[in-house]
Amino acid sequence: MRVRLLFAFCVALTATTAGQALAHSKLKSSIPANNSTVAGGFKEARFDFLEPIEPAMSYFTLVDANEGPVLRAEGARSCEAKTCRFAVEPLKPGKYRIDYHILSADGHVVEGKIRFTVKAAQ
Amino acid sequence: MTSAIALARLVALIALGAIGTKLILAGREPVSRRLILAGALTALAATAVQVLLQAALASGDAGLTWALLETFLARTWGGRVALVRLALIAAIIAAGPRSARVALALVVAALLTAPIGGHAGTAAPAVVSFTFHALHAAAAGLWIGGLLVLAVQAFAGRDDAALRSGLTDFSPWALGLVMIAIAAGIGAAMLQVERWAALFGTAYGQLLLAKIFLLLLPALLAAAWLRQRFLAGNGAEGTARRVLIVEALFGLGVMMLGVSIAQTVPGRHDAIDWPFAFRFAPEIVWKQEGGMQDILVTLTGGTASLILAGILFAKGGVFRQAAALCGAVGVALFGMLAYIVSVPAWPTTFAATSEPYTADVIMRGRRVFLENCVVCHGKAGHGDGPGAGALPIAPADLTAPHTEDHTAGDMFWWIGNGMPSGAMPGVGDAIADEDKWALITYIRALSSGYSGRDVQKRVIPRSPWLGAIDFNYQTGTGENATLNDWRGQVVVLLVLIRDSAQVPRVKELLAMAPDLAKARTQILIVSSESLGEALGTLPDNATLIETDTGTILDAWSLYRRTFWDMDSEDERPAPPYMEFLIDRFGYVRLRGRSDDETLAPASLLALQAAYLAEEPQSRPPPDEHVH
Repeated sequence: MRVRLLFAFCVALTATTAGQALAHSKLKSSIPANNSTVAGGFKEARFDFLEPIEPAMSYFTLVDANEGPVLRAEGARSCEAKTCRFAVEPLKPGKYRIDYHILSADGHVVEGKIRFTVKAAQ
Repeated sequence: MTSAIALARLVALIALGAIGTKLILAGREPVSRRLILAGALTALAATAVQVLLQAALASGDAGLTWALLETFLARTWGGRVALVRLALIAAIIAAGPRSARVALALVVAALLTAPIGGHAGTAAPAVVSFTFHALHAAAAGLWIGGLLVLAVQAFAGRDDAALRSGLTDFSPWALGLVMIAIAAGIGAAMLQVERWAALFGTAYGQLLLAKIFLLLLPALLAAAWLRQRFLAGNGAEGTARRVLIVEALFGLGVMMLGVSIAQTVPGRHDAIDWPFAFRFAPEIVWKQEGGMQDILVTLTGGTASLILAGILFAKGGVFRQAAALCGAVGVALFGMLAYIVSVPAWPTTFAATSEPYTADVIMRGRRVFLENCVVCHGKAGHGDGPGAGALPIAPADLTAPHTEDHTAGDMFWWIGNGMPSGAMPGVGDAIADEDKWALITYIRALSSGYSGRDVQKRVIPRSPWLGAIDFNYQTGTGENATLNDWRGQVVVLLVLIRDSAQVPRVKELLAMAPDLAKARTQILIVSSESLGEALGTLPDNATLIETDTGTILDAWSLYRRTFWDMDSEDERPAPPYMEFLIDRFGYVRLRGRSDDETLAPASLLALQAAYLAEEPQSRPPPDEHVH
């Protein structure tokens, strides 16, 4: 009985602790930066991560203020080592969000989002 | 899903470990084919489940498809390693039952690959990291696998003779395996945790502590068992049996923690949530008034007492009591030393900033500063704002070097929760966390600007310390580039120009471009005005950045202060022209200002750039480890 209890405890421990793996993002910096405002001439987005990433299993989605998809960039075509960059067609003024899904080289999935505003070109 | 991955990993490790130890001990009784097959099939199924779950997790919102599984296996490091492991296990099934030696080699190889696709791959140096992680997993797998096999035998109540011979054979192996697992585990843990603070303040570190604790228990049990065996004669079989089962369960617990750790963000990457109200910081206390004496007196006294205690103890007899007294005094003095060198700490003391050291962040931090901090700390941060006079405790001078004694995380805590002395109220959530970090980044740049006065127009060899402020810009082809992109490759000559009257100096530098190119130096010219026509065609190693927002110029203006012109009240306009040499590792090494000092001749500048291009690295790049 005690043995079974101990086993159950161990399984519970494994389950609860292992579940915390996805808690933290490893994005180092991005262009546009989170919560920043960029000019209308903005042509390319760039994400720098702390560790090398796996391009093949990474992607980015850009959505507008109404959650309408604008583009999806596959890591295979955008990423190298720790940096991902992809072209963005000229955006209308407004609020946007980029969601990123990254498989880092050590096997962790890192997900996050950055928000930015496009202002009218001068 | 990560829990399921951890469990699958656990099952595979134990199954492989169990057949591994069986094969190692195969001398007396040959291992049955059925056992090898059963173990290998279990490991194969568990590994396959693990890989499928990992691929599903990596696929994200798209969900796992055949195509994505193929991509995962063929084109990611973790996937390729998993394929190799699956192949090795399949080979055990195919060849194992025929040759025990081949089977053992395959089992060990499969165990060695277990951690390679995970954390081991990203810790540097890679070869050392792979070795530590692989040896740790293989030794631990074999040890616990073997322990469990014996425990099952003991539990099932098989005949004592077989159990005893199994134990006798396994014991020396177990000792060696545990030693390897512990030594390699310590090495791997040091690579993954990096800082003491991460051991106590991250989930990874705490799991590691729990694992060490659980590991100590079987050691104590083993000692108890040995006592029983040697002191109580042959009648202790029953106890040995129980001890073995309990020890195996503890071993299983250790391994469960191990596979959980493999699924947890390594301590070096995770946010540190410091659990104690103090931290040890002798380097800060040393600089405080009387700190040096206190540390030296307690350290010398404590050490002398302990040495004396040792001598007295060695003399034996009546001296033993005196030795105990001296020992107690020594321990007390070391306790006092620990108290003396501790400084207050908060949950965020070791938290890492979310904001990089860039011009954008610094200027955002400056806006937060001007909106929230000026009344007390003053416009220029000297603690002399209009409201400062009425306060019982004077606000801190944020430009003074003492700001270095506090971690960025300390400041983060004070901004949000106030100073414990009541000197400053906390803003709570009125300022968003990332803006608090931006504010701290600004204060750091401001303070560095004052210390940075000693960076002048001559490079002082091997003394980098002032970190360059990163910024992003668009290249001629419209790509986003950053100043830090040049890091590790070339020296950067950064030219900041606000007044077209300074164009002749820029032209003088551009005329030196071939020499600078030989010295592996890139010229970046940041201008607030359009200079394209005035400068004409630029050489290959020069880029003109015509920024319309002025963020780069304004942020770098924080580095304008000189001993002759401190501009401590931030009253004068920014200098019309400044130039900086940034070494290959991201440190500002030379600064020239047109309005305050005579600028170095362009040829001398090129010579110094040539020196920097060859200078070996003397410290890690600034902000390498931003989270």
